[in-house]
Amino acid sequence: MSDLKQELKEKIIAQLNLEDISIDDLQDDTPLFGEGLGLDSIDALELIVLLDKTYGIKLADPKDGRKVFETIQTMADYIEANRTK
Amino acid sequence: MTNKTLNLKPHIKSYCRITNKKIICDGEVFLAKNESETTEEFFKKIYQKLGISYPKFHKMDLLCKAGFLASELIAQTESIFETNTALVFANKSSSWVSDEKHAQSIYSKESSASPAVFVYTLPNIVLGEISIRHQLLSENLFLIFEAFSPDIFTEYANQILTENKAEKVLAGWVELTENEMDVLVFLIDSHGDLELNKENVTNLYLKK
Repeated sequence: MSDLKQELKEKIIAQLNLEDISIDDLQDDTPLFGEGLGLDSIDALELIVLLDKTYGIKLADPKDGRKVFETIQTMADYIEANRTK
Repeated sequence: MTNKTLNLKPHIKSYCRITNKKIICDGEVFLAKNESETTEEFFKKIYQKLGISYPKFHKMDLLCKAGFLASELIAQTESIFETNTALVFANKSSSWVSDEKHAQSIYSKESSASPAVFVYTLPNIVLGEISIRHQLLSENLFLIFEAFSPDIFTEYANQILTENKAEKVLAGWVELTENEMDVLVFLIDSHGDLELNKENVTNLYLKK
């Protein structure tokens, strides 16, 4: 699980061009949206693509994204439970 | 009081020129480009030298970065924040760099379009980025032309100002390909050192 969280942090920073953020800044419980990392709606779409492309998970209901993308921890939990690759 | 009632002639207040060799602002070289540097690397150096913190910059495509940086440099001496400044921009290749990236992603074997790329497949997004940064709620226009022409800017700027649609105009030719930078952004105001005319705009464009 900790490897997955580390991998997620690396992928999110690279995929979303978060140049001013280091892996150390991104804690497991840092909120990804709002006052945490401040991601926007385009970033949310990128995260959906990331789940699909890397872990074979299709988010059928966009409403699920709100909970899944809350933090690195919630993302990792969801991936562990639903990954197909 | 408006430009019309004062009967003031528009002037070029400030400018920023970016070419493959360097970036010049109001006659001063802001930064020279190393031959080995890519456009992306050069823009990052300009951003760092400006000393600003605007994380969204890193997500922009090259076209937006160019327009954003040139505007930012002008705004350092002539603030346009929350002013009635219209934007009149133009180029030749539209949003070609992002269009091509997007096309490559959707036609690749593992077809996976990137929303972050797709969102920049329109040239006028650069105007949105500048407007967001400087909180502008003004007129804006992005035109596509075969080649740079000073008329594009002098005519539209004169019209906007004489009809009191705005108090200032930020005008710009922002032509970008992966290896070519041809950018001139200038601020037009009711006063300044250079009168707004074809000759003066052409002379700024010829600075390389």
